[in-house]
Amino acid sequence: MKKHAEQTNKARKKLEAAQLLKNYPSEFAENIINTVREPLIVLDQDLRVVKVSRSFYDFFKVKPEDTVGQLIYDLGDKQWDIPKLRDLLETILPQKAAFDSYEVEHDFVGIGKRTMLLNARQIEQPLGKERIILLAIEDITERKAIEAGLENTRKELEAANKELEAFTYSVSHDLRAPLRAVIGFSRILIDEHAALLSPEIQRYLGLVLSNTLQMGRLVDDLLSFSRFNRQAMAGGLVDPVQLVREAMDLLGGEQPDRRVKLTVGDLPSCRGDRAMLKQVFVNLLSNSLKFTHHRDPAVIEVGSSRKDGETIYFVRDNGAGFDMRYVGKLFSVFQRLHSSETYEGTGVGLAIVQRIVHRHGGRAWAEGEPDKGATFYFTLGGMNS
Amino acid sequence: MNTNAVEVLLVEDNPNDVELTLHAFRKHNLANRIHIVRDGAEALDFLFCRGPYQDRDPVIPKVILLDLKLPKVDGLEVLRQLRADERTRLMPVVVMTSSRQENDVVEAYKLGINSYIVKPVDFDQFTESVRQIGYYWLLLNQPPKL
Repeated sequence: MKKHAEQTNKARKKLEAAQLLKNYPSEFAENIINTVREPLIVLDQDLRVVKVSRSFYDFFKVKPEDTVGQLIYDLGDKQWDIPKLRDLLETILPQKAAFDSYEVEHDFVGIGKRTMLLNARQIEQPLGKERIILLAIEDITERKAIEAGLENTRKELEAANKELEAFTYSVSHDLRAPLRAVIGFSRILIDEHAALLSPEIQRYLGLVLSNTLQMGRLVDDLLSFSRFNRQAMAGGLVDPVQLVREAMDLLGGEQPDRRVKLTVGDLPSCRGDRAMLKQVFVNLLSNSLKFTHHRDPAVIEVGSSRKDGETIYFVRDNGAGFDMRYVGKLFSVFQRLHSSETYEGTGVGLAIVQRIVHRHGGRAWAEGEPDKGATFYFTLGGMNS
Repeated sequence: MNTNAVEVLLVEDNPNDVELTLHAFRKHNLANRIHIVRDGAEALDFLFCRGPYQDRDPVIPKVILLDLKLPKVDGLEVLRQLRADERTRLMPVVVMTSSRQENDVVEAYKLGINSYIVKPVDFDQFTESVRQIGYYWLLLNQPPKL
């Protein structure tokens, strides 16, 4: 019953609206024309102006007396006599009765060179009356300029990025050769000529060697960071549980005699680059293992939650944690919150995590408290939202 | 210099890498007949018995260890010329370079290299790589008769 009443009500309202329109057809049409922000022209079948919108006068800076009744091509000193417009109105429109988004570029007196998008409709009137043509004009000059500017900026950025990557790559690449030499010759001295060297010399040589090895790790990490920036991305369906398993297998060898309690919660599948996402888990888990070094057992939890239609993955540990005051530094290249004597590392792991996550369109962030552990979160956005 | 019975041709412009490679070869008693050239042009002269090497007995080494970044003529160009010549088309070439760049690897393989080794920075790994390369190509491998 209720539904029937609703329908009747709707039908009645529709009828009322139609009645209203019938009583005031020209007023209604006129109001539409004047409300629309874009310039609108109504032409008769001979292409003479019947009516134009208020916005047309404003935009083209013309007066009604110079407009109505004129042939469209004669408007404003024939500045509308544009070959493309003629083609449109005289050839395309009679055939198709409508067209949309027809781009016309023209130099107008008073307002300069503009790019316009034109929509047109040919409307058949009731029997005996002439057909009319509606022509809507959208000025997209500014939009095009902004788009072109954006495109330029994008290209410049892309070029600058490429250059920077090439630079990073070649620097890290060319640094390897001298490192190999320093490490190699120090080792030859230590291994083969120790008998000739005083304990002090041997100690200094050891320091030379360990520092050079550290530099080698920095160069390697920088190289891999730059690789994750440049590498093309694949986008298949990935099972994070499997990635966690593989990551732990990979890291297992580094933690022989430790008790590590790892729990892996529900991790929904996601879309992304498998190798890169595996690296995310490798780096986060390796971090957790490193900073829980003094815990027995180390407790690491990998899980996920859902918020605002987005999956948030996290890796939590009961390790050394960090002071939230320095959270901003956490994801930057070569930034470390702990001394290298306490925890070794180069400070590239989390930078790589963030870069990979960003490349997937997601975010990475962290929460922690000194000596209470840390939690690293990330989303993958883009393909997964 | 007696270049008649060269077994290994080392094409390497970095003197440190040359010394470390020779050291590793010597350590494993593999360095008997190794000849060193410092750039791609000299490598080609040696292999095609031209210029300073015109009087060389045209015996082809058992293996050539080729760096890619070389003065004058780079490694890939050396490869191109070797593979285009009937005399050297089949000779075993091992690329030994610092470059991990995927396009270098692919390009080198397209030009018919037999192996691609990225020189390790670590000394033990470096020495071990050289030992394995020497052992494999000089003792285990059966090269074609050229």
